[in-house]
Amino acid sequence: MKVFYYCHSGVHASVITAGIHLGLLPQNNKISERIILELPYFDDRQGWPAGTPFFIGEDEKGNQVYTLAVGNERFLAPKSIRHFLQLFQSSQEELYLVDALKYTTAQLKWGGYLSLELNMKFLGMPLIMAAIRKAYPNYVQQVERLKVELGYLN
Amino acid sequence: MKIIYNCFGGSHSSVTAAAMHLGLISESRIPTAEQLKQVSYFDTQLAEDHGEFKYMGDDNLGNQIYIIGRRNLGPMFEPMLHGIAKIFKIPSDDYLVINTMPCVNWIMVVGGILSRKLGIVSLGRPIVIYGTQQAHGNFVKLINRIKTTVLLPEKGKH
Repeated sequence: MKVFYYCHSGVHASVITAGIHLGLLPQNNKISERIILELPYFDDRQGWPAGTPFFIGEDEKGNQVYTLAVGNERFLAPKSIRHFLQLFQSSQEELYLVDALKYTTAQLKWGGYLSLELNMKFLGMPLIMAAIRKAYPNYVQQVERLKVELGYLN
Repeated sequence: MKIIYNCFGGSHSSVTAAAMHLGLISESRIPTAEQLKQVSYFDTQLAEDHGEFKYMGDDNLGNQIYIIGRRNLGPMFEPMLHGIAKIFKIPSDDYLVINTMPCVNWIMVVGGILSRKLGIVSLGRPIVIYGTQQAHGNFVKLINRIKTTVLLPEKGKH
């Protein structure tokens, strides 16, 4: 199975939720800035255009975890991805799309915009970190619920 | 190959480009309002239709032509499809994504917003039709470029 976490930028909220999913981040609230900055693709598209899916890692069940940028189109993007796969009769049982924007605030969106698009990391980073800290328990819960749904936990 | 013409709302520029590709609209003559209105999906798609690939027809090389309104995904749309295709092992020769927004003039934008977004069809439709007629040359250039540089070498390969 392929799990896609999607958010505005594809490199903030989605990378955090993917990091929780893969066990790269702790389940409790003790997150440090250092551990977040070490996540692959965090606040860094590594030269790829926005919209490119980023492979973050493989989880304990052998499923691949990706992140994806959808801008402000959190409903339209998943719909067109499903339609696209339908066109090519590609199996969608393999596909799992998770909305990492559910608990994401405007603060994270604008922090990400400042940091990535305007290249003002000194302004964007504090906003991003504060927003992540605030939403972190929700992200952990969201990933936990997903793992229950997928039969990882009982 | 599937050719995917995409624009903001999937109602005007992508439909016009697809129709010209399929020969439903002449490249040598500016289409009349009646001709444009007869093209399926022209100035008809609603917000609910956005994000869905709509089949327009097969061209004479056997390519399937689709249109889609991808709204604000804009520049993210193409990398997203390429990435998804790669992950799901869809060969990159099987599809072609073409953004038709560069063909759009401001008259089409104004008419499109009036007709589609605000729902004032009686006012917006004549404006968007006039804008499409004015932009005819842009569409001719786009379709020529695709037919000569992208599709002809493709045909020669087989």
